[in-house]
Amino acid sequence: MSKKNATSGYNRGRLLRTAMTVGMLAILFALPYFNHNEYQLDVLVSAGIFAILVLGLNVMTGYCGLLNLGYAAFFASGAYTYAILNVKYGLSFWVSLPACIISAGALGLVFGSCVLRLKGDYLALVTLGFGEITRIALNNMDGLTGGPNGLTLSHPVIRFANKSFDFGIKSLPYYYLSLLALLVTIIIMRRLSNSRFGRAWIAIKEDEVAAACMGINTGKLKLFAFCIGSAIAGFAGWLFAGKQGFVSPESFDFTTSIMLVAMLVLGGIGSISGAIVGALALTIIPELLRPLQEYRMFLFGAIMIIMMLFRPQGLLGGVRIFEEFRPVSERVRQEEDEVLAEDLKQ
Amino acid sequence: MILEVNGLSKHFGGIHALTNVSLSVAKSEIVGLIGPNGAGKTTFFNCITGVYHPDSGKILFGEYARDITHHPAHKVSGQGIARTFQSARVFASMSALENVMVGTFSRTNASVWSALRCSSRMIEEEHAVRRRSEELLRFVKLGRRAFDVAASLPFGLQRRLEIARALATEPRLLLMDEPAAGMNTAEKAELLELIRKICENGISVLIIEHDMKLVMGLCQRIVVLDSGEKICEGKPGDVQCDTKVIEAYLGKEMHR
Repeated sequence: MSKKNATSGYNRGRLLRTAMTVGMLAILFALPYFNHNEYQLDVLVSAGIFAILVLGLNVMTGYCGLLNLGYAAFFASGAYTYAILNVKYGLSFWVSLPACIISAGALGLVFGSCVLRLKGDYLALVTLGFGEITRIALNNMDGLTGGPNGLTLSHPVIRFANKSFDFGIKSLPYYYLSLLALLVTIIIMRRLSNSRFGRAWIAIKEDEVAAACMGINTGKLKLFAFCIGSAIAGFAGWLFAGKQGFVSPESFDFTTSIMLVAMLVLGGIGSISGAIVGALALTIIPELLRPLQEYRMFLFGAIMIIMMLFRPQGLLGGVRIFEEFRPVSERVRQEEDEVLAEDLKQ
Repeated sequence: MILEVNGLSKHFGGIHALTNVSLSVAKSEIVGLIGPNGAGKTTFFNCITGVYHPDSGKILFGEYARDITHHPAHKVSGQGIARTFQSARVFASMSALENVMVGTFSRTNASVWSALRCSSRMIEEEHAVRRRSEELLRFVKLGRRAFDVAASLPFGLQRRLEIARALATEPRLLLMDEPAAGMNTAEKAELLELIRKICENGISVLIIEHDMKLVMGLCQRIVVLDSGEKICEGKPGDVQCDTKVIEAYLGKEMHR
C-alpha cells in the first residue's frame, strides 16, 4: 500500500468518526422536538446524570483500578453543597457550581489521602463504609441537611438583561443542561485519558510496581485520580440537585453506589463510550421493565449474569483503542519493510 | 563508578536474603550478577530500585555518588536507573507503543491543566514522546508491532518491549533480570546484540542471567551471589574456575 493511500484511509476514518459524532449530537439535540413525552425525557435526564457519574467513577475504577463502592458519598457531597448554599445562604444554582465541584474534590482528596494505602478489596470495603457513614451523617445532621426530610430548593433561573427564564419543573431545560454537562465531561475525560496522566493511571492499574519503576509517582497519581473522580461526582450532584429541586439521603444510599459500579462494568471498564452506554442501559432497561413490577429485578439480574458469562469485559470494554497517530505507524511499517527488503537483497 | 553499593543487607523475618553485599558498576560497563536460585539476585535489584528498603548498607549512584538508598521507586527511576523484570511485566491492556510512552512519564512535564486545554506545548511534547517511543520500538525491532496489544505479543517480544520501555526512562544504568529466560538460541543471539548496542550508547548494564554462555560472552565482570552473600567477583574466565562458585552451583566434593 502506498503512503498516500494509507493517509487517505486514515482521513476517511477520521471523517467518518466526525460525521458520526455530529450526527449523534444532532439527534440528541433534536430529540425533544420529536418526542414530547415528559416521562421519557425525564428518564433521559437521569441517564445523562448517571452517565456523568459513571465517567467519574471510571477514572478511579476504570483507569486507576481503585474499586470504589461508596461513590454516592461524593455525589451527595456535590448535591448537598448546592442544597445548603441555596437554602441557608440563598446562593443561586449557577453561582454554587464551583463550590460543589471543589467540595466534592476536596472530600476525595482528604478521604483518598487517608485510605489509598489500602489496596484492592480492602479499599473497596473502606469506601463502602465511607458511603454508608456519609448517608447516615446526612440523615442525622438535622440542623444542616434537614435529616430524612431533606431540603427543598428553588429552581435554576437564567437572568439575562432584564429577562429571566425559570427552568421550572419541566424536563426539557434539564435535558439540554445535562446533555451539555455530559459533553463537557466527555471532553475532559478524553483529554485526560489520552494524556500522560491517562497512560500512567492505566499503567498503575496493570502493574503498580512496574509503573513505579518506570518513574510514576503512584501514590500521587492515585490520589489525583481519586480527586478528579470525586470532583466529577460533585458536578453530577449539583446537576441532580438542581433537576430534582429536592435532596434527601435516600438518593445517595448503597444501592446507588452499587448501581454505578454495575453500569461501569456492564458498559466496559476503562472505556468512555462504554461508561455512557452502561449508564443509559441500566437507567432505561429497568424503566422498560416496569410493567413486570416486582419481577423486573429478576430479569435485571438475569441480564447481568448473562453479560458476565458471555462478555465479561463489558459491552464496549476490552482493549483501549489508540487511533490518533496511526499514520506515523504506517510510516514506521514502510520504513521497516524497506529495511527488510534491503536485508533480503544482501 | 556509576553505581556503588556498599554492604547491602536485607532480611525478611529470619531469612537473610542479602548479607553485606558490595558491588560497583563503571560507566558503559556490562556486569553480570549470577548465582543459584534463591541467592538473592532479584532481591538485590529490588533494593536498588527502591521496591524494597534495605536494612543496612548504602547505594550511591551517578557521577556525584548521590545516596539513593531509601528513595522510593519512582525517584530512583528519575535518577536514571531503569529495570526489566524477571517475568516480563508489560502493561497488558495497552498497545506496545503506549507501553513505551509510559516510560517517558518522568521525562515529560505537561501539567493537568495543559492536558485539559490541549495546549500547543503539550501537543508538541506528545508528538516528541511518540516519535521517541517509535524510535525505541524500532531499536528493539518491534516497530511493526507498535499498535499491537502488549498481551498479544509472544513472550520473547514482551521482553524486548520491556527493554524499550525501560530505555524510554532515559536511564544511565539498566538492570536486567533474566532477560534471556525462555528464549531460543536465535533470540538470545539477537538479545546479546541488543544489549551490546545499549551499552554502546553509554548506558551501563547490570544483568542477572542463568545462561552462562550469554553471561560469559557479554559481561566484562561477573559477581556471584550465593545465599545472599557475595562469594566471588572477577573476569568471566576467573569466575568459571573459582572453587567457591563451582561449589555453589554443583555442591561440595565428598571427602571419604
